[in-house]
Amino acid sequence: MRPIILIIICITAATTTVAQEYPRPEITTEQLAEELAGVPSTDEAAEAIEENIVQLLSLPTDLNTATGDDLMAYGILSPQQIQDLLTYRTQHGDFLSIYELQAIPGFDLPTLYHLAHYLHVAHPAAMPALTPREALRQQESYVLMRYEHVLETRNGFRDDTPPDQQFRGSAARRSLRVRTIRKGNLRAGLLAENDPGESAHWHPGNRQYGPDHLSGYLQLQRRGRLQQLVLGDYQFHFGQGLVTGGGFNLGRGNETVTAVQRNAGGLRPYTAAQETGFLRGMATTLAIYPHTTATTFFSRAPRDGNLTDTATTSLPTTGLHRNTRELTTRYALQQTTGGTSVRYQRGRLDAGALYTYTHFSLPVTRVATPYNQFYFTGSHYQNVSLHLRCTYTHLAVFAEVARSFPGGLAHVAGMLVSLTPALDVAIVHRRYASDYYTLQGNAFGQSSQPRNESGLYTGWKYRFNRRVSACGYMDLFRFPSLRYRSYTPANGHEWFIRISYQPVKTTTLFAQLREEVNTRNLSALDTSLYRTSAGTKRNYILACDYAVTRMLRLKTRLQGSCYSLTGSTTHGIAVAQDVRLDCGPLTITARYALFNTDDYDNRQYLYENDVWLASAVPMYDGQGVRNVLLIEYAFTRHLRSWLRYAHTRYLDRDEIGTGLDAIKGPARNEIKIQVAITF
Amino acid sequence: MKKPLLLLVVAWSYHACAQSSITDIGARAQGLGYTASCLSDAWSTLNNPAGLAKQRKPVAACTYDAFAGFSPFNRLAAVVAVPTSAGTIGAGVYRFGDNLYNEHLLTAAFANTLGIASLGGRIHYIQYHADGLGTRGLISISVGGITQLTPALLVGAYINNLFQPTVDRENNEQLPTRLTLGTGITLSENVLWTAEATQDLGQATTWKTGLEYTVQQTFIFRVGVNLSPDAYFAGMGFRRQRFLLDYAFQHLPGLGMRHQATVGYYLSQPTTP
Repeated sequence: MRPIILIIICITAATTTVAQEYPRPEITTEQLAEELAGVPSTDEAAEAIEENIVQLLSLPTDLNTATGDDLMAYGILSPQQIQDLLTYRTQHGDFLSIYELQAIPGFDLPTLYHLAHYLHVAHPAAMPALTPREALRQQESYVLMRYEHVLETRNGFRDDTPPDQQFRGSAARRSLRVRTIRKGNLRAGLLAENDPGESAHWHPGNRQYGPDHLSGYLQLQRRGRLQQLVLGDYQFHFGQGLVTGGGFNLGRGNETVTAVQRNAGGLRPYTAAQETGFLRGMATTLAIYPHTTATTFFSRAPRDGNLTDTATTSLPTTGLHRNTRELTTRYALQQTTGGTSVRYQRGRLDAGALYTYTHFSLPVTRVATPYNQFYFTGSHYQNVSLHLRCTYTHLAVFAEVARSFPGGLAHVAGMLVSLTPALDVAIVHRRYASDYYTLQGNAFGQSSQPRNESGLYTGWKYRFNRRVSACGYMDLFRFPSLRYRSYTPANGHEWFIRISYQPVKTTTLFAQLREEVNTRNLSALDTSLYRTSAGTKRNYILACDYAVTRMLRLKTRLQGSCYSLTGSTTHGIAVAQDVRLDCGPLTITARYALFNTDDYDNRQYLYENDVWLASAVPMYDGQGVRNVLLIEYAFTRHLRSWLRYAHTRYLDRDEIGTGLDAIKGPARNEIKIQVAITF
Repeated sequence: MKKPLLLLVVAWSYHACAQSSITDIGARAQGLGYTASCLSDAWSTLNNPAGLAKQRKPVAACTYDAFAGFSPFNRLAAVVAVPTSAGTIGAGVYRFGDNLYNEHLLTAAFANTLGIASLGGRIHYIQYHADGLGTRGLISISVGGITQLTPALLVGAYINNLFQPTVDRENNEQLPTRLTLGTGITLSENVLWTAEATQDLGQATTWKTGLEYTVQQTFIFRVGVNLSPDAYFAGMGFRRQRFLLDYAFQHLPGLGMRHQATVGYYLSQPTTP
């Protein structure tokens, strides 16, 4: 049986490679963002999505070693498809080629091409022609050096700024990333980064060993009973993310059905550049019974904190330590976290329990405001959680219940079902108490933290035929307690619809519309009593992506929004045209974008192409023009370089940005250079 | 002979009292978010009367719709639908409220098929009663139609209170006219998707959608969503021999839950030749 499959695959692959007129476009961060990520609503959300995309691209890509959790992390395959793939791989052995996926029931050619963007087969029997970027992605060991510089002088670097606010270091961001994999079981990584304005010192007493941010890990996998051992920086994903982790949350995007279920990937090394949100210490996963694993983790991570004499009033997460004032918050306290989790996986059932304990070396207090009555104060808290996931043919059910001490209860439960071969439906119900607390949560919901929210989400995806598909969702939610800028209990809803048309493999068109109704405070003129009103925000995107010739691709995008609150409506629009030229080792990407927004509520976020393992989601606010040019060149098979130049010119202002990051003048130029050595 | 007697008994067993004229009812309709414009069952008597035209067997049903925690908002209704040679006749009664304030409605409906379209109308007598303020009774008419454009596509529309009768002349209060436009698409032999837009003059448009999934023609699962006012719905149904059992609930964020249970029964005789 197997030799016949091999012969068929070779014939298919050979004929496909010859008949293939256009190379498969390899995945870029922008493409991944467009396919999977949603429209960010805040800068924090945009930054979080950027980091998650980078982490997603750092995942193992070998189809033969990817676990079920790795496959679920991409959010493309349904639980049933993942189950079928793993069963096929167990029965028939390793995949010989990516084309062998067609033999699995439930996998058709469009799914295969979609998956082929992210996964590959190492040492395949039939090797499709690799472009340089794809070859880079499949290399597992590399050294990456990056240099970024904004040419204009920011306020923090000027001489007329007060000395205690002046930035100490140079105006460039420098970072070094190293990753190495040995024999497939041992991985190690290192990240050293200095933000613009931060200086490099050697102060072991201040916990600074050179650059401002240093992060690394050592990971050992599959050594008998020891399934995983991580030393250094890591993240722990459990259940649906009510307590910790929760997978790569890319917001509400194109995958309205499969991505509502978070993947409980267990331990993962931390590879993002954000300076908070990771655990630092040691963690192990052991197989204690045939289908049961136990994970124990311990972490002692430094955190920034704004201190008063005895307590911390807030925990900043920007990771900026540029001037004297920011340096006093650097690593002001220690966060010690310990926890243990048990997981049972057998066939269609996946269940687990988790306990974590977190302690802050200085107690956390809050400056009282109307909206933070239920925020955490104190020096320690504990979380307990139970989760369950069950797959049965076309139906997948998941649930998690968590409780924080002190605090309240949170639960999320949902199901994914394929009602017909063309229709997938997901329903998720959630209820998070106002006083539920977790620092590393990443659960499904409207806000970034699983707190003070209850709602029902229904998502659907319908494939009309191989060319046309539509997807959408409807989310009705309620915030029982006060929130930032909304001082009453509030109801709201959000719906989204997206239609994609792919007439040929090289052309994609899509149209997308989203509406969100949410309440907001109205400013009270003469009293301190707040009234709230429901504001409606509508976003739409029209995009077209087509290949003119084998080397030239064009992409046009029109994006806009309107926001109405108490009768007044404001609008914003952005238009972008991208050009991409692929000639052998040289790739040139250019963008020309115009934007015109009435106010900050209508700011537009557009995903942009960036150097490898970086992701850009700039915010277009005001009136102006933005140009981006990205040149990649592969000198040899092991040495690649990138040069990126971005220019933004505003027509409605003479100063860009606020505070210490402000630039005088209407233009902003940024240069980014990166070199990658693979081995 | 038995059928007309049955009709009379059902029709006169309740006093007709004042009634809220918009009577979306039925656990099947509620499970689908009240997207009843394209549904054909006994409850079409109180929803879209044109749905009666497709009823081939005589059926009687009753329902109780309860608002959790506040009993004056509970509703009770009973209907019967009988196909005849001239078309299908339906009759129903409905009650809302408690002793302090209540509304009663008595309705008679008729529907027939013309080609691919079904047309129906109903006339109802509504009585409002408020303790201390008195009793008002009025008559109102609603009409509706359903068109089967393709075997999988239905389009329906109906108007409640076509002529806006006046409830209270001094305060210029009239029964609201409401226009509903909806569609039902059979995505597969087991899946029905419905969507509807409802416009009540003076209010925002309500957008509704629902999905129904049938397993082995016995178990039915329903889900629905409404916008303005926001609500989500879910329900289940069970079909066996002559019984039709349905349950549905509705959640209004911030306001509470409504639960509804419906029992239907196919009466013995087949359609008259």
